[in-house]
Amino acid sequence: MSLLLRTSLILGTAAAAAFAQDAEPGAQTFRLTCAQGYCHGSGGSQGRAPKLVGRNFDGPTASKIIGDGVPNTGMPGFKQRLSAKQLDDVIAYVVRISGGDLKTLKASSSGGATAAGLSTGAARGKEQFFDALRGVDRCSTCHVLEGIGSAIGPNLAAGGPHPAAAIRQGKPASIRQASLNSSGEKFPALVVEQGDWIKLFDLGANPPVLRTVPKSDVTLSGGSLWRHPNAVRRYSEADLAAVSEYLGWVAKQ
Amino acid sequence: MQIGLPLYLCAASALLAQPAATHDEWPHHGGSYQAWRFSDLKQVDAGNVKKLAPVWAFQTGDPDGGLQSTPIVVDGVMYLSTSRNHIFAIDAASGKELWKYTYQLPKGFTIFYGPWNRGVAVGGGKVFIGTLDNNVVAVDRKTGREMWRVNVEDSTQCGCNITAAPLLVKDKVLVGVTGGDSAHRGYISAFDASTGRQAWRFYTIPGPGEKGHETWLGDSWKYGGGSAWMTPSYDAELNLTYWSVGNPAADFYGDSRKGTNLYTDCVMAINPDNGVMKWYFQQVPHDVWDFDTAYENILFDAPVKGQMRKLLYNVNKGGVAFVLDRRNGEFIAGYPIVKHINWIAGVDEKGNLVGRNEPPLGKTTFICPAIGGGRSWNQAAYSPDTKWIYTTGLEWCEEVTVAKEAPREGQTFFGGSFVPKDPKGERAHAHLDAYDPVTGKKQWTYFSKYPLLASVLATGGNLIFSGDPEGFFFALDAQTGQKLWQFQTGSGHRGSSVSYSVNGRQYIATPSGWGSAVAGLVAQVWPEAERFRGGSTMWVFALPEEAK
Repeated sequence: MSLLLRTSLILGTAAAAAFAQDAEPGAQTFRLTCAQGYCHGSGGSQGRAPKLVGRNFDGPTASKIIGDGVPNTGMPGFKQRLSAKQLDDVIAYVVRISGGDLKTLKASSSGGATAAGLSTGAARGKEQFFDALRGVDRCSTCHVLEGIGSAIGPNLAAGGPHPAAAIRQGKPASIRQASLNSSGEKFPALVVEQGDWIKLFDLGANPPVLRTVPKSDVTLSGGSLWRHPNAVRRYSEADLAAVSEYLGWVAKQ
Repeated sequence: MQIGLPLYLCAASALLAQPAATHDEWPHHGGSYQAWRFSDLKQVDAGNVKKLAPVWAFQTGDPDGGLQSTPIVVDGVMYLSTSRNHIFAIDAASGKELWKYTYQLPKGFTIFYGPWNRGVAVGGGKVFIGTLDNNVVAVDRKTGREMWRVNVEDSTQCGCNITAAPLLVKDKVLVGVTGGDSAHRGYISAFDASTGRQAWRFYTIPGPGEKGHETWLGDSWKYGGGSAWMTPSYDAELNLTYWSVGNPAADFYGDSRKGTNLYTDCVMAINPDNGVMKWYFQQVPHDVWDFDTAYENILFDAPVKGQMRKLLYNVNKGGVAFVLDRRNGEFIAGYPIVKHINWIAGVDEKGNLVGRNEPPLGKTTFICPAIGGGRSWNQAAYSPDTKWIYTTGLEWCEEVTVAKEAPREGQTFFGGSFVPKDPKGERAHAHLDAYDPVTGKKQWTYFSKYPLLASVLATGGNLIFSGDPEGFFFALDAQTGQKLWQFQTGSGHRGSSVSYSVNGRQYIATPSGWGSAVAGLVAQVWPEAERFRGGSTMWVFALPEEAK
């Protein structure tokens, strides 16, 4: 499975045929990306996302919004999703349909996806790390890289090289055994917040559950039976070697 | 509760019997597990509804995306979720806020499509919600304190999240994910209600070696959509939950996923204890119109050819109602609920689609209804008094242009584009209709100039309630469709009204707050909809004390 979220080179829809209404360069990209689904609507006429017609965007504003997105809204950044030319063309298209001044457009935007520079092995490692077909038993269930995954386990972008054997073994030192007095439950736990209420990840099943328990109800002790080899049991040696190569690539970024 | 024990015992035995009508409470998303959206309360009736007046209003302060929620009312407390996944506990009689749970989205998080949420589940001392970043969260029912949360899958990677209300069945919280228009493989999950641990996951697209996998060409199954994005219903006697699975991805471009594409566009019966599927019925094999079988399944019993049958009613986005035997999925009836349908010529006596009008690659084709559906997800109601189903219908069309598209994991995967249009020969419009669900015979129709995107509520007072995009909340006579009352709530309706009672007084409650994906399309056909006002308010009505 090719996970190319942050590094996809070109828009997959590029193979689509051009239509009469796509006379100007950015029109097709807009139609198949920005107007697509429930977003800005045909020609920026409004969908669920805001109407663009009549907004008078200048070049720098359109470039910033389209390139980086608008945090905490539904507007993603397209810097990593479109080629530099597609990005420039769609910015120009948006400025025009919004009624903005085309003279404010720069010759070329600073955006545009760059080549990932992944070796074949690292690319395969990346696929394995995020492999959706592994369901809840993939590396990213507990680790974040490149903004994807859950930050439960250690940050793997730091801490030096990670040979396959070290990945297999993991570093479970901080994992403790939790016992709940009220329910009698016992499970391996990673404590993330202390206080009258303790927040801890229950590592007894995947995906881990962030639970909040009263301090008075929980007894924490060492000697958890949780082991990383069990977490990665579905990864072959070859898989982990590739993941190791990918981690090496991430560390250099 | 003043006399705790006897009332508790009464409630417990009522739970075992699984009443299909609600009474004092509104315990589940669809009212009851059978999703009737029918309250048997009759203090407010067709004779006195003109006196209905607001008793409180609750502004959520979270208007972006509108208010699409169905409130849950248990033990005199209303639990209301908002677009950005906040939860309020509100005294259902006075409107006083008891607590608020504020969900924190990750900083800078890009929301998938837009912020919206359709409700919570309540039970076992907890309130459960699915979130915009694809977590399931349990909070303490008395205090609003978070008890557990679990990330179902990274929302950015899967291009999916949770907007539907979860359903609590016994000791498990059941929920699907959105993402039917993304390059993603859909699934349904169950979590242990007390610990949050995943109990099972059922992939709506079979993997290699599983039955049904052969209905997908090549690797298309990996990105085939199939999201169960609404709340299921449940038959306790048969111990089956009823799910509807949405469209395959890419929505319009089907050549790369040749085959029937199971279990997209299927109604499925799943054992809630272990996630094992008992039966399925596919409404739209190889869907190339984005006509999800995604909406609610209403469970009712009715005679078919002289024999009482356990039935299930489901309307799909293509504007076709299907009635099935809910014990085994046997097809009983299928009929259109809108006039403007041209994607098929009809449904044959075995439930197969006939006369498919598939839009060809690279051309623009006029298709009815529009992608927003012959009906949207706003739910229908069933009344045991009239034995009719009350559903909305939308008359609008679109121009679809199919384009070849390759999947990029987690990103939109439509395989084409669309522009909503008026139907040929008339302006786009909507209606709310009463049907005999088995024969499909229409009993009456209520015309609306604008799309009706709010759920329908039926009550024992011979009343039907719903709301319109201009902000009017209205009551119709359940037997004739005649409008009896309306009230301007200040913003359009996209949520689900409910009824409940506290201390002998019946309340009718409705969310008001225009928004949603489909509401966003409306201005392309009804330009004046651009000025429809947003909002996020819960309005609660009752008869004046002296008029009861």
